Amino acid sequence: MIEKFDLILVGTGFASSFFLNTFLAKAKPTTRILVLERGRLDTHAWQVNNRRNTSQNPNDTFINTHPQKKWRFTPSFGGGSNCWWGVTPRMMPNDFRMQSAYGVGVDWPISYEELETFYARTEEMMSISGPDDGSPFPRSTPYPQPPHRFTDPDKVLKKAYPDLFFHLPTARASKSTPNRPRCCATGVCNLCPINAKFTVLHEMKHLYEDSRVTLILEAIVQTVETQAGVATGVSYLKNGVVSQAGADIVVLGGNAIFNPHILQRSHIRHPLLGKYLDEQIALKVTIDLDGLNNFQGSTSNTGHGYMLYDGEHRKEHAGCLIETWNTPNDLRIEQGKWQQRLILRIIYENLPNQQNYIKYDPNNPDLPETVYTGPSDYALKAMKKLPSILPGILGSLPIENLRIGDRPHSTEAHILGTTVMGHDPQTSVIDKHLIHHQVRNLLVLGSGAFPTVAPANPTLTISALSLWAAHHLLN
Amino acid sequence: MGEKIGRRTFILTALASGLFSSLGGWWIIKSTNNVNMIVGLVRKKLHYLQIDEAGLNAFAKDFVREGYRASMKLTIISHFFIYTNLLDSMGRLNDLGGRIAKSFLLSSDFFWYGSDVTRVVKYLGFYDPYVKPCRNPFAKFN
Repeated sequence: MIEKFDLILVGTGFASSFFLNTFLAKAKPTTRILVLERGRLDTHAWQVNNRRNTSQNPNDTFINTHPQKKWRFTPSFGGGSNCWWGVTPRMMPNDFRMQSAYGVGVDWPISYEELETFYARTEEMMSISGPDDGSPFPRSTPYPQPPHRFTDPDKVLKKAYPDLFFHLPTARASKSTPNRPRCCATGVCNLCPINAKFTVLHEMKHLYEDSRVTLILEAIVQTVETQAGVATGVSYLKNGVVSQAGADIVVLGGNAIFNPHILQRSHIRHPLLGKYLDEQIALKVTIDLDGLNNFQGSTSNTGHGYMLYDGEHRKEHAGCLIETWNTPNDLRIEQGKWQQRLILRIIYENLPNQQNYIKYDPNNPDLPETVYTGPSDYALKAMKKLPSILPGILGSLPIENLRIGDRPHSTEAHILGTTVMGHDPQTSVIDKHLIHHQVRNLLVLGSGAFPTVAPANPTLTISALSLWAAHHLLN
Repeated sequence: MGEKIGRRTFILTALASGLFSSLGGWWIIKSTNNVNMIVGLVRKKLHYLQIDEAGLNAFAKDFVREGYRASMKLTIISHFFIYTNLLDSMGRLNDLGGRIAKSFLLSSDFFWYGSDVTRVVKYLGFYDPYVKPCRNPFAKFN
């Protein structure tokens, strides 16, 4: 006999956890929720002792057909919240309307204004530290935590660009919270030694201990079961045995590799399912400063520059977000110049491409395959212009030497697209409330929903969209 | 009375012991070479500093132990390329030397005493945020 639940939730990362938070707040005492997580629960102590985020090798969970392009994620309880760096900008209003504003990409089916209160709620839940002297995007509330300390180069850039350079918003605490100590700038935020950054494991684990929730670890969801266009449950593999569970609502909260793969394997077809796999691309810039010291900031990256982010140039080429870095390992060794170095990370948006996708192989149904042909010309064009633009942008800094990396980083550790959202069922897999266009009691959360790839880091938007989706479902 | 060891077993055991001893000996020699090379690289890169000799040796040993990947790279480089000056001019050892010198600076008391080049620099312990977090010498919190 198949055990029946009110809701089945797949995954325990940002997308699932923020959804579950809202859902539990309004669920009845008798509501039954099944959560299936493919990974193990690797405690923070285990992670620190082993210097890695997960006891499972992510590369064993999928096939990368273009290995030069890396896709980074954490298959364990808490998902990407274990390995993320904790950088939490919102997307800009025009990021949601790229087609209307600049004639490229597509418009999102949801506007910045619609998402704003959910952004604010997410920032509150994560205790985000952010600027208190302005913001690049409209805000209804101040940031919950004061900003981290600027470095001296940040102060120079802020003076030159008061409306375009800001403290970097982050989930690394600038002052201690009941659960977390203040960040002390260790510079290894992918696994914070002192647990100063927000993680699901640290801050939301109690949701999964709620009496209404049944959590099963190391349970790999294979398919969503449907009858007459209605989801009836899922089948999952645990300890070599395939089991089934039934539910009134099924919510996929895996990443943008696994969510489309589950749908493909379930034969819930759509021409664009799995398509538009992509992420931002970034260049490293190393600047030797002349007489100006760096590294005085109170966390690993401290500033966000919007000088090349939004504007008419996006009609022609990608916009970018400029991050200033503050990690001590970047110091110089020449006498007297130890702190006179600044590292920038220039993060470009990308135009999604159908040639980049998740492939389902019926002969090897357990492993999704990533196919990646490269970033868009839109992004590459912007990167080529950087050497001629950047020195002028940074004209207020005393620069001795500036070196731009000759190739982008192999990954930004964001996996986007593959179950894109939109109004039109012909050109999108899910609607503006993250509900599947055809199977109306199936929600597909997470970064797969992104129909375009903005320069901003996606986690805050992923989490806010989950709050938005849960709010709509319950109202 | 114990069983007699067969000739074949004896030969295989002897061969395995010999191989094990050789590899172990090779590793000890290489580790010693790595320690010496690290000491030399730090002295060269930070020629302007007076460095406590015992502390530098302790750092080099800790680097071999803790900086596993870099140490392996160093082993390979030192094993296959003995012409370090050539390597230095090629930049390969230079990059590694820079990394090791940075690691030493962060592991020492140099920045904690105001980057004073006139005093003798002491080794405090290998710079590893997972062993001793919150030792960033530059970060300020006010």
